[in-house]
Amino acid sequence: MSRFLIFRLRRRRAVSALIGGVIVLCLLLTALGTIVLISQQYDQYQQTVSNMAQYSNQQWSENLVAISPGLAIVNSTISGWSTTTSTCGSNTGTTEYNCYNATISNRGTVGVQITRIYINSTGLTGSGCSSPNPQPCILNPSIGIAPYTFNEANQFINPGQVNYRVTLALPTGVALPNPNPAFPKNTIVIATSRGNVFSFQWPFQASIFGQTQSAYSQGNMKVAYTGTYVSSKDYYGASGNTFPNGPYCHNETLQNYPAGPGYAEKLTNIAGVTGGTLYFVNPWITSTILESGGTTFYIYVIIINTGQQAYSPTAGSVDITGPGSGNHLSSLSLFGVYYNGAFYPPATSPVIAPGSYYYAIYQISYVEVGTPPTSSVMWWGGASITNGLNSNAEDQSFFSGTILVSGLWIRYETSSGTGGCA
Amino acid sequence: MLMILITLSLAAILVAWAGTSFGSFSGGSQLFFAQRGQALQERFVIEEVFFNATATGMPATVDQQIFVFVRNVGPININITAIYVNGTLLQPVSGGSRNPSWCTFSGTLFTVGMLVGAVCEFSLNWPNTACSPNYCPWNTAVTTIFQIVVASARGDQVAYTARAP
Repeated sequence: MSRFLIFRLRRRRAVSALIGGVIVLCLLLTALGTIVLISQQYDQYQQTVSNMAQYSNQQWSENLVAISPGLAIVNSTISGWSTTTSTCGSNTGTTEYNCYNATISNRGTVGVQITRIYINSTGLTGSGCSSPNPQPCILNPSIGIAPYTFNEANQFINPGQVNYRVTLALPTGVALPNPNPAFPKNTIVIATSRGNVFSFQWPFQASIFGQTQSAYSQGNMKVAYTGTYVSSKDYYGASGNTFPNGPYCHNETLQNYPAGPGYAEKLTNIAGVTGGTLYFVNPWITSTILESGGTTFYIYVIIINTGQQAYSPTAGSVDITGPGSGNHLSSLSLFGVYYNGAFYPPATSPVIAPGSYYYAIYQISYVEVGTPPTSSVMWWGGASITNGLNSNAEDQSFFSGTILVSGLWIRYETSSGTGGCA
Repeated sequence: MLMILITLSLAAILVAWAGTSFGSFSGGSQLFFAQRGQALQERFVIEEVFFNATATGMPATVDQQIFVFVRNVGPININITAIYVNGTLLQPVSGGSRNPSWCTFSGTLFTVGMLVGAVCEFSLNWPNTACSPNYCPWNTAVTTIFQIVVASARGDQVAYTARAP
């Protein structure tokens, strides 16, 4: 090659063409190198664009849907999360939490990782994730049970997985739903790792045949009873028992109407009840007391007129189901209505204005359930008001979804009027 | 021979100039694509906003608080550099006990680095001086809409509209 170039230079033949060719070649090579380099950068950028487009597609493919009952209370040890000394519900000598199972279905086409759950409450005051300020409860994943956490093992939901339960824990001072009947709703917000936020209202808005009902019952249900208290038939060994081998000692703090879910609520001027007073307590129940004879039980359900028309609830029933066979109760008649601090028998039921709430009190003369504690869990599947609601949008029956209640506490009234154990 | 040398010199200069030009061009494009690629990979969301108010309302002399939760859901770390509320640049204060250790606020220069997957709570004081009757979070008599914009160092923004309280 060098001999060829020397030959050309000595003979001065086509030197210009040679030099020009070399220059053009150099320029072309430089340009080619630049083009190759920029092409590689552009390819990398396009790869990033493609990856992010795929990311966006996955983001858009997430779809979590809450399934009835939305949240359900849990009173047991959750394997791998809670322990015997730090568990959901009340057990003697343990750290207690208010635990709930959130039932969720993944109707999207990609797996979802839940990174955080926010629970907001409507209204400005009260507990239920709104006290003392309207700050939401913020629940982060945790490998062990702790207040304001949810089970990290429940964090991933496969595509197509239905009725998946995410267990979450709140302090015992925070009860859901919001106990303030005027603001009964909670908003559950589920944030995912891809930045989507799915929310649902709980308790669910009642809906039958796709139509929202105008009467709406929420999760609070309390019971009262009249009759002779038989301490020997009290619930020995109950969860949260003050004395391990003694009766439960129904010692909830007494409050006049309206009271929060953690209190024994005193309703006065109840016609047809000896003494005219009923003490409604949290629903722990024992068949031994129920079967003691001569005992009449009362259950109230908080019902809100969510429609646009006023109506008078003059009749109705409640449906209660316990585990096993023969534990289904239905057609429990409406005993009366407690509205704005006054009791009304069904015949004189008041007019419930839209947006107002009332207690529908149902009467049970005899109940038979299984033997506690293994069969003490009951749930109520709904309540109905059969008068006053007369259109398709205002169906005569309405359901709030099944809500598990862990048994029934019984408070009795002593001669001094303070309540306590026999 | 002289012409050849001159030609070769000019050719060398031309090639050097072309190389430098192409080099700076490719370098610039590399920087452009790198920055664009990083900006493209930034993904962050405002997943929750709530306001601090009481049942009876806060006194008009007290600043209100707006809590903004921002999560980095992209594949790269990001820096949050500004938060605007209704067009006003607000300086976040400490996020409180709910904030993890990586969401630290230092000095007056507001830049919060967020790792991949991290969520930070930004506590904003809506100043009393900026409170008109139509824009007080505690004034429930009017519909108060807040347009919240969070901006990153790479120029990305996310917006969130919230009604208070």
